[in-house]
Amino acid sequence: MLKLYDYELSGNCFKIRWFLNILGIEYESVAVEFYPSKEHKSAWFKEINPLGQLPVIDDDDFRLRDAQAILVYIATKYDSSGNWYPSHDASQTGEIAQWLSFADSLTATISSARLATTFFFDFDLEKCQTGGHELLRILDEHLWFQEQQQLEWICRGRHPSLAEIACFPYVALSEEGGISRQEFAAVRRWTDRVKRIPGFIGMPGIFPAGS
Amino acid sequence: MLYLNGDASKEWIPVASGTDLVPRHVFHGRLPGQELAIWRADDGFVNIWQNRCLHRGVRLTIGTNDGAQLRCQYHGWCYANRTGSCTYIPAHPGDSPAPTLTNRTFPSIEKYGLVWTTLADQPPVPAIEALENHVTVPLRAVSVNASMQTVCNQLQHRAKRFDEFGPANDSQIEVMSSGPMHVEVRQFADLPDASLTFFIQPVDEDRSVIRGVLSGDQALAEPLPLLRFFSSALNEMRDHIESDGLTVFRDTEKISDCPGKITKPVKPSNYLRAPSTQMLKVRVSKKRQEAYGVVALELSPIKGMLPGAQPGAHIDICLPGKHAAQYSLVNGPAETGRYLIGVKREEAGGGVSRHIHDELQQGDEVEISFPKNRFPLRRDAVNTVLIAGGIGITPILSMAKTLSHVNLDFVLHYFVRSEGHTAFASEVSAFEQNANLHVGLSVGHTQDQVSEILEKCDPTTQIYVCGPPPMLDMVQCVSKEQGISEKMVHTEYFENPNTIDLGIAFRVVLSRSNKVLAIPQGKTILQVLQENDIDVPSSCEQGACGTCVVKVLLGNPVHQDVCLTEIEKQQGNWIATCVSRSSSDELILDI
Repeated sequence: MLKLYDYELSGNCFKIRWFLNILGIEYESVAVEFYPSKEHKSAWFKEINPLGQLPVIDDDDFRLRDAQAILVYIATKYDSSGNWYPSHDASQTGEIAQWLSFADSLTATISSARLATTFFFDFDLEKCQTGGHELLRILDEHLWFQEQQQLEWICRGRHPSLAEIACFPYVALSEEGGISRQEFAAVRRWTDRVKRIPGFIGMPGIFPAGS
Repeated sequence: MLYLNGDASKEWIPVASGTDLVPRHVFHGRLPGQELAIWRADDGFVNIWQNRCLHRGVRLTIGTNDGAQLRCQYHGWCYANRTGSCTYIPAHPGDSPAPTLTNRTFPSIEKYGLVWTTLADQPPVPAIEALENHVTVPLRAVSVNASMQTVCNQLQHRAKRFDEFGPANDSQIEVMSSGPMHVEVRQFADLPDASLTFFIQPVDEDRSVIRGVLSGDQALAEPLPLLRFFSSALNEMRDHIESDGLTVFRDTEKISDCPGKITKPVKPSNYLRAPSTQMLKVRVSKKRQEAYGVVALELSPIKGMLPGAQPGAHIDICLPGKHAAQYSLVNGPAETGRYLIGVKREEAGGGVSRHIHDELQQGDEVEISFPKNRFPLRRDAVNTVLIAGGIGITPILSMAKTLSHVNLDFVLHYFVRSEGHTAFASEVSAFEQNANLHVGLSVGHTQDQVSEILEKCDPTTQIYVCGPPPMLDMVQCVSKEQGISEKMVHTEYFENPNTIDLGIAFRVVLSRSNKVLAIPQGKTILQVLQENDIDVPSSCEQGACGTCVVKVLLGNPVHQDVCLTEIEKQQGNWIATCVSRSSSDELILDI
């Protein structure tokens, strides 16, 4: 069975749990205590991931780190519909990869701000928040113009893609990092739509949408 | 054209685009000192509320919009479309929320593709010549981290050379006039009819939103390139304003330097809301024959909005010189624009129903009480059985609409004398397989049918019954025989069939007012209280509606009403002062 090295309060672990749930894949969760014991920096876990980062999966002895890489792997291997990551289509996969990289920037800014505010990490909070705010402005403008073209999702196409799964968690957790989404109306509508995708699960700090 | 709308306590301010308010979404708005939860109900109405649950102060913008109500994410308090009144508290599923639990609401209008609100009392509606009678397309709203005054200065300054941003084909921008408050129309060479108007919405002392509206005589067929162009142009302006180099345009009198906050207390809105003793005037907007001997009345507000009501609630209709009569509301949760009632013509009684049938016309005004609810509906039941007899369908139908709206299972049984006696038949049949119509059954057959219905109930089924008193008595009797807990059977009597015995004399002690009053034979507690100027709200004065119920601190009440439940009667903590007596010499009341 697929094994997920997991931490409940991590947005990057949440996106893997959520995507596995969407696809209906059973998995075993191995809890790694990120806070306060910093188990992800322990010797045993660095054997698994020398970067000391969560999440990591182990699928039949195939080990993979990095949330975005894991999403690509799971979609390619397990999503028979091909909707989440249409690997045969150059422009779509290119576009998805662009937003997977954007998701990494969200981790570097919003997630870091959240680590500073809620887990007492010694980061430059203002810099993280300013960076996160800047990214949300870009996402909001992008999504507003998608709406103008009757497109609901980050990438073109009628079906949500891995870009949703990758970008959603730290957008939805931004307020824990002290970054309000009040001014990002198109982002707020998009988070409602994402929460209504069948198979959605929440995590602490992420609430369900109405029907 | 640039309009500076700064002061929400004086004028209307645009706070969203109409297209921001998509179905089942809650938009997060903000004015200085006032966060707003803005949501469009399924009937199209735009609600603008203080962004704060009355319970624990959590933002309502993280709650959910179910099309007719806003539900708080924290403990699930539900608030009704239009009125903002609390319709349900999940932690108290058997109670009806007090009418004072009403959100602070602000008025809303939609104009020029924008949604506007104000904290003032009915200021004049904005009328902008360039936008009146034109097709309008709102631009993407751009938030700027700068005060409204700074943004205004910049926009004016930039507008004079807006063609720097010009659309690819040389646009011409004509500045008609410029002053501190507005910069006039700009026209585009390739779109001679089009003009652009800007509004600046203040968010707080150093944040604002630029809301632009494109307008023209004809529909802008391909607005996307223009929208993109102005989005980039405004982004560039925003970046310029926010960059450190721009000190010259910074507001010299920054509001943040002022110690006082901008928020000012506002006058209460003109919505009708008050405690249950207060009356309101409504207009009969529709009167129609609903079934044999039954008319349906739609009652619409004369000014403002109607107070919110919960399923099971009733109003009193008060006619000069007549006792008030109670009528249940048939409204579903989304139907908040008017009250719908069904009135059966009663040959006996105080004459209100005969007056309604024979005299009352469409367009007439009547006085009614604020809605009261003695028949609250739980929304935590896995199964609910609704049983109505005759005109008892009215509260039951309102319950069915609510349960259907929140996707809870229910079965409705409606007993009628004949098809011609079936009031609200089309509304009942809308529930399809959930509704069962039982036509023309004899008393015995009705009892058999009720027996069969109740046998199918499991111990978690909540049962609500409304109809003529003999039917209610029968249902209670059958449910007792079947061992169904009294807690699961909820009834509402429209009239009290008991013969009232006023033979016992006793004393009441009013613990709060420190008075002792003798209640002689032939007089009710309520009458003696009223003679002594003690204000106890009352309505039917026959022990059916429950308005005059007060708390008993000590003593043994003798109950003659039908509004308290059997359990309440046994506990002896409450008394219906209009009919009930005491077997002890003294009753100590909590009034």
